[in-house]
Amino acid sequence: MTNNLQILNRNVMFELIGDDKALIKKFEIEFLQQAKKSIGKLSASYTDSDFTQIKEEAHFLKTSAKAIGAEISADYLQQLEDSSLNKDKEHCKELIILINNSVKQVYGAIKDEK
Amino acid sequence: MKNKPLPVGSRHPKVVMIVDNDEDTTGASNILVSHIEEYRTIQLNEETTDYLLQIEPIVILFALGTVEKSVEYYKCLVDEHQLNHLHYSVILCNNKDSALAFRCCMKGFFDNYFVYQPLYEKLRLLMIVQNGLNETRSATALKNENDELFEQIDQDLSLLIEEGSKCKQNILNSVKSKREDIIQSSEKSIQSKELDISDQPSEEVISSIKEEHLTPLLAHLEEDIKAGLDNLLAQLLSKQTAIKETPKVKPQKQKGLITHVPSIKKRPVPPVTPGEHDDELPPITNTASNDNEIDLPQDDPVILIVEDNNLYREMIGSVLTKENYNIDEAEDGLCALKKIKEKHYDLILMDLFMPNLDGLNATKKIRQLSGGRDIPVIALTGNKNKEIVKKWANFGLKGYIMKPSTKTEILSVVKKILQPKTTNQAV
Repeated sequence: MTNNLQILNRNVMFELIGDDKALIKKFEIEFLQQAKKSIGKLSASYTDSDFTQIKEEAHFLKTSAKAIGAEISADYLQQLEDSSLNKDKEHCKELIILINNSVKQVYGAIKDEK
Repeated sequence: MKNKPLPVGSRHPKVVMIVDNDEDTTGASNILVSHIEEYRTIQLNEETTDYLLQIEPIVILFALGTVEKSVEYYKCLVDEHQLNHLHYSVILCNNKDSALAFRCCMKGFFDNYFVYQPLYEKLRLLMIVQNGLNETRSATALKNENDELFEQIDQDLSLLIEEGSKCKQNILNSVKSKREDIIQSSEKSIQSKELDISDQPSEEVISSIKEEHLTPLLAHLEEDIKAGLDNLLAQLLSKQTAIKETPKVKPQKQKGLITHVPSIKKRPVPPVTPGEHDDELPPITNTASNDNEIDLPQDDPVILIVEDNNLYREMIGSVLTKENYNIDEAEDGLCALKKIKEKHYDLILMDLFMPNLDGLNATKKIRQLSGGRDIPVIALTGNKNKEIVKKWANFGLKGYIMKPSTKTEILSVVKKILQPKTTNQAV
């Protein structure tokens, strides 16, 4: 399933808010800022082994990721929610790294859009 | 170690190679110096750190005697905040250390590595440097654009706050002066009537009218305006603070642009197809809620969006605003309850998982409010929470919207709920 997902599926935002490029750009930038903050919180919660907080933060960022069409990030965040429920610390760590990487790819996709 | 940087290459280099034995790196240096104008080889010494700080190179190649030495020196630069600008880091190593260099890159410490002993892939070295230059320049351009954008938003908000304050002051002054006018005219009227008009209302009557009606009315009006303006200013100030506190895209202690992560076996995940299990949930009901009850006449319907994620809340808001719905926002269930107590809403779009009070419990509480019993609630949810949504439906859900959904889907659900009411009102 993950293989069919896109780093940034532009159709998602197009179908939600239309082709207002300025608005799309605004939401993309907001997502990157939100993601940076959230990944920081995820790392801190991981260090504290606070699985409840990991789940909540992953769910929060997943909403944004889905909304802007960051499908791979959203998929990893869903996996992180599941892993935090199972208190699988090692897998949580791997997923946080993958999420960080996928957000960087989103950043790259947004950057290349210009 | 030698004292001065080697006089090889540009005076203002954007690409540098840090070496401690220039004989070993002659091959790599020659390739770079002959293809890249902005290149320079730097001998590691006491002045190197200051020199790097001064020139802020875009691509830095570490070619010290061993990988350990390069790692140690780069770590030292980052820890001491000597490389806070955006840059691309490359470690050069000999063939037997290539596995170690590779692992450094996989852990995200360096952006890339290159085997320079023996020097087989000359063109790959140039490719690495060129990619580093391109990526860093693009990232810098984006960062600058963001900085400008934030500055502009901040200025706009400051202006808005200033205008809000002025507006508040003007209205308060105006209310105050009107109040004084009314009091004065009342007093004059009383005096004149005391003097010569015997069959007019007595001073007692006028003063009782003033006390019973005018003064409370003016006080109430003043309080309302004050509260409204204070609320508006507080919102603007909080927005400005939030923007100021929002971290810029610029990474602190940036170690490079690309982070490589260890490859892991991905676990199989269930497909995430929106609306896959739609048939399991109660369908959207077209029946409007208690239309026989008396509603105050309204213009455009007012919709409350209850969602903790501000980005998604804004997106839904923008979709509905474009369709001429009036929208209000709440970031969690508690905030929504407070708003519903104060104002009438025609529809509530409610997220499930929120801090403080979740969607299910917020709906329970709303149903206990006198004004909230019949407000239609639509769930905003992912397709993983079907069981909870079913439970939630017992508290009077009128429908659900799968996140992230599309404009058409959102408007279809909203219109289905609001249209019957509008039709009934029109009749």
